[in-house]
Amino acid sequence: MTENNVRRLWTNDELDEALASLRAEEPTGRRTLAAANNALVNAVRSLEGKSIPAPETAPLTEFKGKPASRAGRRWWISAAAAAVVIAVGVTVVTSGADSSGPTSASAPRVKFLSVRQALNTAADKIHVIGETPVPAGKFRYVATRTWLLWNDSRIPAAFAGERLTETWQPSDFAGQWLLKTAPTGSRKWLIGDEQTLKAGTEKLNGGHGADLSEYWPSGEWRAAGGKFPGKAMAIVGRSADEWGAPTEQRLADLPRDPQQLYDLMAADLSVVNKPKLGGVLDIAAQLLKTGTLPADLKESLYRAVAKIPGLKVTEQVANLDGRTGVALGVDPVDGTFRMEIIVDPATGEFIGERRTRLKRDDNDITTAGINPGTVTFSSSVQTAVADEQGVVPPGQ
Amino acid sequence: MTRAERYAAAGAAGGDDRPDLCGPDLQPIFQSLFDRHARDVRRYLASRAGPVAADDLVGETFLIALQRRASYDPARASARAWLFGIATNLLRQHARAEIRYLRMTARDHGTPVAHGHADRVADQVDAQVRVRELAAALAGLAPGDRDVLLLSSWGELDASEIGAVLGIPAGTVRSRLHRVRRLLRARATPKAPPSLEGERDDD
Repeated sequence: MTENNVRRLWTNDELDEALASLRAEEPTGRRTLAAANNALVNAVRSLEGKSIPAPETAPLTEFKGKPASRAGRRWWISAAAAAVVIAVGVTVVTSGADSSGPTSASAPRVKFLSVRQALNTAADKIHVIGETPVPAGKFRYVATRTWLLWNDSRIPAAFAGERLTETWQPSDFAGQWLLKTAPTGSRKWLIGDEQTLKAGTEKLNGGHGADLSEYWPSGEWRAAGGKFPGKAMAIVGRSADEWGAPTEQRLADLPRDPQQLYDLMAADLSVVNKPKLGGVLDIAAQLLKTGTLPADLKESLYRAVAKIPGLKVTEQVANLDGRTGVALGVDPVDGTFRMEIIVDPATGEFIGERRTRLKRDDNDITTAGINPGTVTFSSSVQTAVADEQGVVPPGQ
Repeated sequence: MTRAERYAAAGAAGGDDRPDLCGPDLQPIFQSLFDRHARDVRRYLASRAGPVAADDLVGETFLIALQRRASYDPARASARAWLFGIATNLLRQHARAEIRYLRMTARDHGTPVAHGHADRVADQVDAQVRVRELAAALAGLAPGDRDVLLLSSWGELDASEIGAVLGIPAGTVRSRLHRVRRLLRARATPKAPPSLEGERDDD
């Protein structure tokens, strides 16, 4: 051992002194904790059924112009991810295979005074209606139309682009599933148009316009049991975990007791880790979007969702792709956006999910210029029974 | 043991920070909990992940506490220890941010004094070097070791409380704490802190 390798041991006091030096200073006062305190107070009030003032939601809104860009930021590389990150949405689900059930014509006529009332009513209905099983040898066809907002702060253009995602689930759950996804080409321009987008990208890329297809990929995958690769699920905006892509066994094993189901969702790492996202409501939406939930699980899920602290009726009659239901939403802890699910209490059907920007943040490339009240993502789902895999059923 | 019996046992044990979090009126219960512990929890979080992250995480800690109030067992731990446990679990999910913060501290902490009595200057420089070395060493610790050490040093929890919130025996906490302190006293940085450049923030 060389002399250089001989190091004097610290004393316990020296170690404690160094640890104390690394310890943060006391916060300056209650103001530092005000946001946390407000979030807690709101959550408690909501839990106790007391009203909390909240801004109204609104459909896609006009842009009022954009701020100056942030110089020196490598934004384009992450443009696709950015667009996805800000995606917030609406999923509309109809049970096409169950045409005998009530339809969207039976829109909610009564006002639901509480989340619990709305969801429990839906749960009661779901218990009656149930899901339609896939007939032997047939396929459950699920078509999801998703609208994603594309935005950056240095180009005078922003649009919501539509993507169609289709899955064919065999009657044997463990069999081969098929997933197809592609942009439809439909765009809703919030600011600018194709020309301003092209000109802006060329200016930023030294005369070379960016090919947006890179950020709006297409694809087709087959997978046993619906276990599609993570990349495919990311493209279509679904989680590839046990909530977004549950196995048949998982669906069978999930608790039918609402409290147990709620506790399981609340304990999920994605909820603990990412409380700024939709939390338990996000997980519930992931499950509901699969279109594979047995009726008893769906009922339990509604009753579990009713237990989410801070969940409130955000819109009595929300219209998504022509279907109406009551919107139930939460504002995650930092209050930057609202996540909602839309449920038709008259039928018990899960109509969709929706996310709405609540705060303007011009410091972020993905949110710069987006006004509060902007719905930044939407998708709709139609389900039906298909005779053949890869073939769209008539009427879809 | 019923809930009432657990409270009675907790009270008999002398714990006065063991509220019934499932009482009928949540507002005063949780406001009291927040008023009593939020500053300490935030300071602990700020020490480990930096002040910006701490402002978010302290809110998340109390929201999770609200959601999971039924799981709080006053016979096992004080409310303070339980909250530190929640905060520590949250930090586990933000381990990248914590390690990055510690490495930044290791790089930036302290500016050597340029004047004053020579011995005092030397002592201060030694102390600053120690702090930087410690920050680097903390970043290289196994997460479980770091939790035990910092719950003890910054959270000011005793071994039984740490064991309760981490779900490990108090004896294991003591032996782990002894081992980690011995390691740090020898300034044994498990691995050299790499450059910050090129790191991605996945949090």
